[in-house]
This record gives sequence, structure tokens and C-alpha cells, in this order.
Amino acid sequence: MIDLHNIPPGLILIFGALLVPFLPGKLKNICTIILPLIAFSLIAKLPLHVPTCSWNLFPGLPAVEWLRVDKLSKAFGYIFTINAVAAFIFAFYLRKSTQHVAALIYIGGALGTVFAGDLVSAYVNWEIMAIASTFVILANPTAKAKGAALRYAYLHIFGGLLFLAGLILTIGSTGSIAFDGFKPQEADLGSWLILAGFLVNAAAPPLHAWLSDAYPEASISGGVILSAYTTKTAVYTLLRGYPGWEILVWIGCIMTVYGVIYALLENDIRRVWAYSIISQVGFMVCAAGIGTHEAISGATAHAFCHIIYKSLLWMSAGAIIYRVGKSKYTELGGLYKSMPWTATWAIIGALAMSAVPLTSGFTSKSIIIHATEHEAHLLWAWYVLEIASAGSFFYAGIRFPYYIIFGKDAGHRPKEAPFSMHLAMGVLAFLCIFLGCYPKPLYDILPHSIGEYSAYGHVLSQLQLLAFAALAFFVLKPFLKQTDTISLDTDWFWRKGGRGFYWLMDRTLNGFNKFAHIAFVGVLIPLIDRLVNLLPSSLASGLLGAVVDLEGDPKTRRAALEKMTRKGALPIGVTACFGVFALALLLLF
Amino acid sequence: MSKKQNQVGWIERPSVRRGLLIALWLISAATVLAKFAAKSSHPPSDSEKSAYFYAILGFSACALMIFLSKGLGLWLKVKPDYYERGSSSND
Repeated sequence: MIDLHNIPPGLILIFGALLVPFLPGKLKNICTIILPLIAFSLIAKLPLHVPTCSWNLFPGLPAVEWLRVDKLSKAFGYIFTINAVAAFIFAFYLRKSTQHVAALIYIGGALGTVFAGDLVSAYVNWEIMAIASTFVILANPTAKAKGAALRYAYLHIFGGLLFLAGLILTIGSTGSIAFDGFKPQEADLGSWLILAGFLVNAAAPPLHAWLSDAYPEASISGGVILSAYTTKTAVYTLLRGYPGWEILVWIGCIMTVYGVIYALLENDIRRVWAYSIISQVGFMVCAAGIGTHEAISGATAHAFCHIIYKSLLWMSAGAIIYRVGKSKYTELGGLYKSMPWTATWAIIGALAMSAVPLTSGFTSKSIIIHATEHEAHLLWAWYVLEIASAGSFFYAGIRFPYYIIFGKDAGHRPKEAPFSMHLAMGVLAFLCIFLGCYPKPLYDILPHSIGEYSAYGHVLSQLQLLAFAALAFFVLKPFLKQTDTISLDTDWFWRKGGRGFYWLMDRTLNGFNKFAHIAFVGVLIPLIDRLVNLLPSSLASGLLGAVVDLEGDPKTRRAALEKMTRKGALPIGVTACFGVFALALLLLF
Repeated sequence: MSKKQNQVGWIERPSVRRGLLIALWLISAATVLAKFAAKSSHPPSDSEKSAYFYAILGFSACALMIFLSKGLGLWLKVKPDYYERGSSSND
């Protein structure tokens, strides 16, 4: 029976997206805001642990379950739809349908993945998400966006193939499509391949550069939408499928530091925020690797808050680019004078990302750090997370406002951002502060209870860490010269490497082609031609020299014979002799 | 362009900048003193860190990040048109 409780929430957005191109003007934008609101209310009403939407797609395999509802999937569902509402309010200025349709399908795919009941439905939604997100990037009609979208697609096709290969192997070995926690002690090739597929989407190094390559090339509202879903869906799949896999602690720690270092190197605001996604997702990946109830809840809480403050930061960057047309640290400064509200929202987002007390980042990130501190054998990981936490404050909470908002006046005097952008940023900024001051509503929706834990038990330690990180900035500022550069990352291998591969193929295959042309067309074929033309006459003249009587010296006689054989004008006796010989051969064989 | 916007902003005044920097030093010192006070009122357990532990961690972590990124920057930073140079395609 079909009722509201067995409709996967993602379908509302996917089918709703098909309506959007047919709606006129602002109605189109209103529709994009209403659809995630409907999905949100549906998610709120979905009963827990009641499988209600299964289709038997493949004979011999269990029915594919498209809707699994538990606290983990609900928490991700809530934030995915809340963020979608804010993102579409932000994008209210946009009238073209292309991006709206792609974005709605993309978010629908992300929702489909977090509510997927098994590996098959997760895979189908995973691929929907990958395809639709490529079109979100392509909606920005620039050559750079086109190139970035292609590279993005290649990497995600690769990640999807890893997932598919793992899925097939897992079905082959277990006969099951269940998507519950894989056990590290029972790891096989299938589960490793699926993990690798998830890690591509989580932007784990070395296959992370699609993020910093593609997201900053999307349109300003496209970047806002992209920043929230792909990596956080991957975090969900890791929390669902790989809790307690210790390799994730290592990968997560590498991500946290890697993201901070590259964020410090970068000059473009959106590239800085792209690397900061990698760093912040690293905290969540690390928590998945720890795998305790507290860590899983911490990662969920941090994903929730991260989506809010990261969207806010991408929105503020987008508003600056929308009004100023510049995005580089070396080209911006003093924006607090002409865009004071945008500057305020941006600073709130940056402080939340830096886990400053009274902001959401503090009440969520501290759970992960607390969970790590409790694992005696992971003391090193605790140190790495604290270092990365200080680093986040350094580049987001200090460097960003210092140079972009309050820095040397670059002379830009833009208008404030449009009202719809302020509305979206204001709502998210409010959530950043609300969840920082009163995190209970967030803690109540987490998959596992975190008991009496209070982030404010560590507030003094956090304040000390951040205050001295800020001091380090001002003491060591001379070493932080802003340069108009980009930083090479692992995408160098497929960007320059791709050209190198082309050069190599050009030289080897075309070189072989040239050699073959010379050898066959230039030498061998003329040789065969000459042989075919001359051999029979030479042979015949050699044989006939003994029986045909001609006058002159041997050379002249030979030339006359060759001429006769080429023309077929041999004496009658010789021709008859050949005829008899040929008949004898026929009779014999 | 308004006249107000062309004026030197409040945060650009040297006196304000100096004041903010002094405030930061004072806040930093206050966090260490507060930690000392908290430790003296609550006997420390084995797992608790010293009163200035996070001060050292925060400062050294950022110093480490700066020098690491500075060093890597020498090797990794390239001109913004690096990938466009020598390419006639859309990359």
C-alpha cells in the first residue's frame, strides 16, 4: 500500500525537479524552496525502523529496500533538506532552470542514499547524485567549469565503478545486499572496494582534488549546493558501513591536516573553503574510524553543523563574488565598509567553523575530540585533531576576516548583497549561534545518546587553544604573505599527466604509424610490386634462354627474352611446351 | 560612492589595532590564569593537562602549520594560469 510513509523523501525532489522547467518566473524559485520543505516534513513524520518500500528488481536476489529510517538517516535527512531550503532561497535571483533541475535531482540522490535500505539502492542513488552534480557544475557556462566538470565526472565514474565492483563481489561472496556495518575482521576485497568508492566521494587524499578543482568553478549558488552533499553523503555511508575501521582514523587525520595546509596556501576564497571541507570532513572520517557511539554521534552532529556553517561561508563568498566580481585574497580587503551584513554573516560562519565557543562548530567538533581522547591507543590522533582544530581557527577565524573583511582597503565599493541572499545567510548564521548556545535539539536527534556530555566543560581549554592560535597569527604574520598563485595538488597528475599521456601516445602510436608507412608503403609494397612485375619474366627468360635461339650477345638476348615474356609473345613451340607442362601438372594433382 | 565609505575605517586606525592586539594578549594570559585557578579549586586527575598545555599546543600548532605551508609553498605555488599555459583546449 502506498501512503506518505513509504515514499522515499528523495523522490519528492527528483520528480519535483521535472516540474521546474515548466514554471514561469519566480514560481520556479518558489517551487525549488517548497520541494525540500515538503521533503523535510515527510522526514519528520517517517516512523523509525519500519521498512515500507521494497521492490523486487533482480530475480534470485532479495528485494531492494529503498527506504530505511533510523535516527542516523533522519539526522542527515533533516540537515540535507534544511540546507536545500536555505540554498534555494540564496539562489532566488537565478531564473535559469538548468541548475535548479540538476541541483534538485542531486539533493534527491543524496537523500536517496542516506535513506537507502541496502547496497543496491545506495548505489543507484549514489550514481544519480554523481551525474546530477556534474550538471550543477556544468550549469556555469565557462570553459574552466566545463573542464573541471569533465575531470569531476571521470573521478566520480571511477569511484562509482569501485563501489559497483565491490557490490558485485559482496553479493557473490555473501548473497546479501545488506548495507549494515562491515566488520573489519571479516574484510574482503568487496568491502575494501566499496570503502574505496566511498572515500573517493569523501575527498580522501590522494583522490580528493576533484573537490578543490570543481567546486570553485561552479556558479556561486552551484558552489553553495555542492559544498553540502557529496562529501557528507560519503560520511554517512562510512558511519553506516565502516564504523570502527581503524584505517579511517589515519585517513581522517591526514585529511584534517592536509586541508588546513592547503587552505593556508590558497589565494582564492572558494578554493580555501573547498580545502576546509576536506579538513572538516577529516574529523568525521576519523570519528567513523573510532566507531564508538559517542564518535558516531559526534560525526553526525559535526556533519549537521558543518553543512550549516560551510553553506554560510560559501554563500558569503558567493555574495562577495556576485557584487565585487573578485574572489582572491590579493584583490579583496576592507569589505566591512560596503558589505557590513555580508561581512557579519561570513564572520559568524568562520567562527563556527573554528569551533569558537557559543557557535555550532564548538558544540559538535568537541564531541569528536572528546571521543578520541577516551581511546588510550589513539592519543596521537587526539593531538592531530587538536592541531587541525587550531589550524582551522587560524585560516578561517583569523586569516579570512583579517585579509578579506578588515584587511587593507582594496577600494571596492559594491552594493550589499540582494535580500534573498541575506535572508538565507541570516537563517544559517542564526542556526550557527543557536546550536552553539543551545545544542540540545541537535543532541536529541543524534543516533546515539551522548549522555551528560557538555561541550562547555572544556570551554576554557578551547579558549586557550584559540587565543594562542590567534597570537601565533599576529606574531608570525610576516611569514604569511599573500601571493597571486594557485597550489599544485594531486590533480596535477591527471591534468598535466593527461597531457603527458597524450604526448606519449602521440609520439609512440603516431611514431609507429610513421614507421609503418615508411616500411610498408615506402619500401615493402614497391618491392613486392617490382617482384610481381619482374620475377615471372626474369624466371621465364632464364628458363627459356636455353631453348630459344636468339641472336646477339647474352645481355641483348636476355633483354629480348624478358621483353617477349612480358608481352606473352613467345614462339609457338615454347608456348605449346608450356601448355603441355601445365596440363601434365593438372592431371597429376 | 559614499563619503563615509571612503573614510579610514575604525579598524584601520593604528590605535584601535594596537588596542585589539593588547586585548588579545590579555585574553590569552587570562585563559592561562583561569586554568591555574580552576586547577587549584579542583584537584587535577591524571588525565588533566597542565594549565598552559593548550596555550603551547595552539601556538606551536599554528607555527608548525605556517612553516609547513611556507616550505611547501616554495614547491607547490604556481601562477594562476599554470594549467592554461601551452593548452589550446579547455583542459
